[in-house]
Amino acid sequence: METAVWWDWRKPPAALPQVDRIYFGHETCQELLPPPDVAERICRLATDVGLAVTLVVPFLTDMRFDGVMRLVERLSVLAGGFEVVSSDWGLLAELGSRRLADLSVGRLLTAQHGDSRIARITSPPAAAPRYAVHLDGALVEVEPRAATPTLVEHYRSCWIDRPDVIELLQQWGISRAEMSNTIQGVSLQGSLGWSYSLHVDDVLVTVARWCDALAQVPRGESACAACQSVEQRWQWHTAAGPLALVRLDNALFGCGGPRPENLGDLPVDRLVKRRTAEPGG
Amino acid sequence: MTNVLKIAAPVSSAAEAERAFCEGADEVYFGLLLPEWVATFDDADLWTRRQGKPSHVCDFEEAAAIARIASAHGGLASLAMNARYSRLQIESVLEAIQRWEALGGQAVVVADLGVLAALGARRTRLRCHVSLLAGVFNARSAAALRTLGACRVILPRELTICEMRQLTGAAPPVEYEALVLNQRCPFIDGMCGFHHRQSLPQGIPAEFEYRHREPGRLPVTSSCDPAYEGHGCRLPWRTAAGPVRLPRCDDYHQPHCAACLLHELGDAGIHVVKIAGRGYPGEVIQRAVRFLRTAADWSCGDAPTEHVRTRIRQLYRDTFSSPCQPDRCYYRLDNS
Repeated sequence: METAVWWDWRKPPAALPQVDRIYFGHETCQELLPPPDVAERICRLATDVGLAVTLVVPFLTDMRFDGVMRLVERLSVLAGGFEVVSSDWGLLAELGSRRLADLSVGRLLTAQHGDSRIARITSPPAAAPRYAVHLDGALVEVEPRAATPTLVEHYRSCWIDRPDVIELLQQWGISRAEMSNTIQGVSLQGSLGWSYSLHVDDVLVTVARWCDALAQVPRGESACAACQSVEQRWQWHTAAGPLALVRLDNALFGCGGPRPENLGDLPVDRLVKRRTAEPGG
Repeated sequence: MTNVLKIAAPVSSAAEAERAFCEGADEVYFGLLLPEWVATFDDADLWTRRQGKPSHVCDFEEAAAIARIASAHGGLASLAMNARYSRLQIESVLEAIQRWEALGGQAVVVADLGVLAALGARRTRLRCHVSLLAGVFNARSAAALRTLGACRVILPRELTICEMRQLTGAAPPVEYEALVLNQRCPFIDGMCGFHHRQSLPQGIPAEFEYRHREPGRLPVTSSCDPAYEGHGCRLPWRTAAGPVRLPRCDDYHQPHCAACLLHELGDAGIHVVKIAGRGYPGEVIQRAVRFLRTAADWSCGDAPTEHVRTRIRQLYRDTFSSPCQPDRCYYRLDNS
């Protein structure tokens, strides 16, 4: 099992990690990708000590697309086995057609069911009696209904993990996809020549285009004025109590679930860790 | 203006489709939620990005009626199958789309690349529209999906109008569609893992199915998640040190809107403007269609843009009884 860790180019660690691979770049914001010279320096540092390198790129607008292509061209000659994880279909298609790097589908496109409340469906807690009022005035008792085994399996699976989708993506030159270790568990079958990276520490729940959706910005300031590179703990108010999330730049992350008991049976050949504050209760 | 804009309206029944076309819509779109799907998968947003039976058409007879109404009006009816499907669902999805085509359906909206590719391989007669949930943010992505058979791309809410212009100018000649009214979520819809299901709020009347039991007992409804409290983007939240923030979204009285930017959207290469809100009351959607039809007609004329914009903002106030506010604008013009 390969091990990988995130390298935050804005706050580089004091020492290179003792893993097989580093991930660097940015998962959710094209404005926060590293400058080319920084990216090149990281790549050289890593390859000099035998670390494999993965560049992570989010969805891109046209304004940023060509610059990222040039960055990938530059880095691909530095590192053997250079890999790009991207949540942009256009970038994946273009890189695949030019065979510039190994390719993996990013978590924003694998689109798992990342809402931790789904665990209330797949592993329902004991429920207190509850009531609702209909528009016609009727007071109605709400009974819990067990989810079907098919529904539980569905929430643990992913659309990417279908033979027809895998075949299509392999035709585009893509060979793997990134998955979150969701609270409700993960169920994957994979296919020949296809595998997954499992991000064990966190679940990428949602993303905004600009940070001002996640913070107050004075009128007239740019949307990026609310950029928040320090991890910020959030609490969502839910029926089961506060739901802890962590804001990292323009995205919200939940805590990863326990290490899957079925990990040995999954087509997962890489575990990815992020050094981040654990969302507390 | 480069493009004469068409208007697409959401519907949940044939009757709503008829009213939408009569009010001035050029297209209608709807979701399908069959009883056998609900029996296994419950009624969350697992088949279309919408929860609940009231937001959907639940049988093929109604779907066929919508197709006939669209045809009679010279318009278009699209079936929204815009979720991404697990291996447990895919056969049912492809069968449903095939049946829609056989019934005379004109178009389908998809986000699942496997579904798009399957329809292309099948040489479907249906027009294949790529949902905004697929996350097409650049011309190369549009081109990639064009190779799979897409003839229209619905652009994400999060593009600026300037970015739309760059995309449509560089991308292959397909149609482009943009949302312009209702449901402006703070998160990127196609990249959001919060799940949507019907909530049964305590104390606040809501619409849901229930059944009566023997005398002396309350009627009952059931849910896989009785405690579901609403979409993640609508829940109160706070940072560790900050106040509780209450997200505000009131599409009935002060909807997010881009009506005064229709001229710019047309110039940016948009062909169709869409009203969001599948499952909203029929009169809310009809009002939205009337509002947008008027705004689109004014935007087509020769009057100066600022004059038209002022008129449309006044029309917003008259229609929704609230002034439009900058934080209700659907789109930024650019990234500044």
